[in-house]
Amino acid sequence: MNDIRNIDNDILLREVCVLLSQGKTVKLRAKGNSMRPFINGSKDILVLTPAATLHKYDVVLARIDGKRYVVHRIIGINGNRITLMGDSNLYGTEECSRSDIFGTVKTILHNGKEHSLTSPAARLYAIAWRFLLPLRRAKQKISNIIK
Amino acid sequence: MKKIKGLVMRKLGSEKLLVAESLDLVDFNKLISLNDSAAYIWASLPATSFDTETITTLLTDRYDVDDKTARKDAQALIDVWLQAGIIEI
Repeated sequence: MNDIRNIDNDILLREVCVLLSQGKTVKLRAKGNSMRPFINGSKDILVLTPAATLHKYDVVLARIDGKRYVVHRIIGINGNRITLMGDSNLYGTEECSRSDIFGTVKTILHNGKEHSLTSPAARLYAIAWRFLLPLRRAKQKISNIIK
Repeated sequence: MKKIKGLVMRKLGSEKLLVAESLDLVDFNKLISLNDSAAYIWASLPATSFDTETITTLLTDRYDVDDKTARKDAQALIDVWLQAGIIEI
């Protein structure tokens, strides 16, 4: 009767976006592995705050194509156009406009401990990870050949 | 018994959920899903305090059950809710 069920992700995230636009902070368990190694799906808890000024390398909750929701990192800002990419993704990116971004992940809770995603150290790590993308792609190609 | 403060019932799609909320924080990390009868009871319970009798009356008012069955169901619900930590003695 009182079990914790899996709520449809889109329904849950739609509600989260409404709450963020009302100025609330929202805690939410991460899903999926597209933000590894920075966020571990189903383990880490995201602390989302309403989106204010957007910066490159911010991790944000965004609505893509008016229907699906992602928590990915901003890798490009061109006027109103925002480009996002999951940290573990090698090629896939998403495009949206500023108004499609509802919240920023400022901190995550990993094993009960708070980790900032916006501290200078975390930002530097994210930039380094991004610059390693060609190497990560090469590693994937090599392991595909070996297989 | 009393409800734990700061729990708000929200309807998400077809699900009715209890969510921990404070003035500026909504915690979707721990969600308690309520079925229709549990949601009805939760919504009808007073904010001050209640006992097994309160829930029994709510059940007999709304559903076609005898007093004995309703009391048994009320006690079972209280046990589950105490275990879930959403009410306190």
